[in-house]
Amino acid sequence: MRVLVVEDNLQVSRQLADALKRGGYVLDVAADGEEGEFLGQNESYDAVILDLGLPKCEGLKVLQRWRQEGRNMPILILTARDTWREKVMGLRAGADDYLAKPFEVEEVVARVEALIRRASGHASSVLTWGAVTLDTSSQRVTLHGNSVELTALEFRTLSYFLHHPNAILSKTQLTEHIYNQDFDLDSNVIEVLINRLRKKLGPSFISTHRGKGYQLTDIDSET
Amino acid sequence: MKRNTLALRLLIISSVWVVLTLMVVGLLLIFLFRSHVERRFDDFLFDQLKGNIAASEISPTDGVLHMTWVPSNLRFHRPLSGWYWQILENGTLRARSRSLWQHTLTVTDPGIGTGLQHQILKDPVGMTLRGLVENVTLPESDASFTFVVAGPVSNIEQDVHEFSTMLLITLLALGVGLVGAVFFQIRIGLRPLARLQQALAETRSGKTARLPESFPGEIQPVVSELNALLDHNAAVLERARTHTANLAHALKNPLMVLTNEAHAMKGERGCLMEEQLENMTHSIQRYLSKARMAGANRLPGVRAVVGTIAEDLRFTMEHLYKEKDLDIQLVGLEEVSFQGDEQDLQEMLGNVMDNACKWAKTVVQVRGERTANIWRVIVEDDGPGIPEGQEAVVLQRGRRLDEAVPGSGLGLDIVRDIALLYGGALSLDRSSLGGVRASLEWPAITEAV
Repeated sequence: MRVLVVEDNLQVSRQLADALKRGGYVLDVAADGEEGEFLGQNESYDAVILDLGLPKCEGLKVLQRWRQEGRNMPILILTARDTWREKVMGLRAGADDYLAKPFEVEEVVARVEALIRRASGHASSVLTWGAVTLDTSSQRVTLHGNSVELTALEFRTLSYFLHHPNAILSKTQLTEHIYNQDFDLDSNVIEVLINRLRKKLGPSFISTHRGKGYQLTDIDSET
Repeated sequence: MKRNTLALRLLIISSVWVVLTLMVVGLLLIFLFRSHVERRFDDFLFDQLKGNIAASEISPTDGVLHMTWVPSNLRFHRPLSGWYWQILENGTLRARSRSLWQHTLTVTDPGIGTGLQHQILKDPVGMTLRGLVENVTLPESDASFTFVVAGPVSNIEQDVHEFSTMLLITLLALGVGLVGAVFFQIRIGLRPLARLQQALAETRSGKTARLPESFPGEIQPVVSELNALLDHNAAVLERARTHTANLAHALKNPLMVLTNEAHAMKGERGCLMEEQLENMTHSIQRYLSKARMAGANRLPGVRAVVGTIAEDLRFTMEHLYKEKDLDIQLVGLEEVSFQGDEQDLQEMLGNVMDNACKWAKTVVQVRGERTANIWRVIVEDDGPGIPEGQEAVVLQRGRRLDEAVPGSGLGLDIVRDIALLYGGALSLDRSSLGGVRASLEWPAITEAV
């Protein structure tokens, strides 16, 4: 899951980043409105955390422009002004949720998780595909009810697949949303990851579409 | 028309003036008319007297006075008509008009050489007469003849009376016309004042934010000053809000950083820090929200539309509580109006609705109600409600009945503070839907000044 954090206060931004990384998210951080707007326009994110009081370009404007351009990722707005006027204006401008400072960073992680889940059409924090379940809040994975140990990378990959259950995901897309750095990875790395997941969750759990990418295997055809 | 208004004052002053002037003019005209009529009357008597003198001669044969012709005016022929003449010779009757019949007029002898004399006489039936008397000596005689001509005073009085009646009617008409003219002049002349009154009522009810700038020179300075005051008020409020917003921003980021660091510290010291930081946070929240309150009660030029604000808040709540899929109903909110600052209403209604949504299972109802002098918004939910006897506790600062549900416990306390500022109140009791019934009310302000 790739999340954009637009926050001008470096300390707050650092704490948010730490908490989100612990929660298994991949991050981009922007310190002002212009940079944030640019990133939101050009990169693909699963969620955005946007502070409203930003230098250079106000958060509300950034939000409005993104929505006008048809960017529809879930957005959580943060503000120091705890007034209903701001909440109304933020949500009317297209935000999905609202959090007033000060808050505990864990709360932000929980909200982001809920937003991503809601955006992919899931109501509960437990995502299921066949015999596999993934609990986003406790970060536990089970196969036929038995706990499965996954590395952080494997967990992120599985989580991304489960949030996009019917999509064919390209290697580039997976790289972007799973790895923290924006560098060219050897495409083998993704292949290796997929193979490790198949080993742990069953060989036909993820199917390969040559030249296109990977997809969760349809449950009915599996049996 | 109200008492003690400029219009009434002007109307009374000019009415009194008009009435006094007309009365003086009337009296003067009656006086002039009377003297004119009397002069005409006297002229007639004079002509008659001179005619009688001219017609008299002493008969050379017997030395007795004869009338060579009898004055033909019919008035003197009709018996007791009030019009008489007679001629006396040393007090002895020599000749008289037919109208006198066998009577004589009692005349005071004016004496020789006194010329014409006016006398008030009585006729045989007691009528008051105005008479002209002259002593004359005729040629061919040594005797002194007293010539008397008289006419009824009532004749003059009747003329004057008729004239007075006509005059009264004329002056009355004139008076009514003048007072009417004054009335219309005042109405039209003072129309800008009425317009000002209307404009003030409109700003008071919040229909307009400022007064129009198109008044006559005498009133415009007042209007401009008032507008400047209104602008100043708005600017002061806006500045205060900007400052509190900046302060909020400046304080809350460091507070958040510290809170999260303290949280990460764990242990006793971490707990202590976290606790103190939480206290600080609550104080800041509380006093910043107090500082943000406009409390613009009864201040001209401000009004908030309850329906629009509730609509905005419903949109917000539907987003914030998306998972609960609440049915938020807005009923009869056009009944109520809030003559105060929009943000204040938004804060009150936002907190109350948020509270309702937090606890509701499926339904939240927001209903407007209006009584004679109270506007009320009632927010009800179908949640678990407040346990019996705990209503007062909920309204206390920082108290939460369920510590597991997120919130600072400040919401309803702030609502109550704002409501008090507007002379209103917040009360909680059990709703027929099962949950809490929060009733937010404030005094109704009518448009009349």
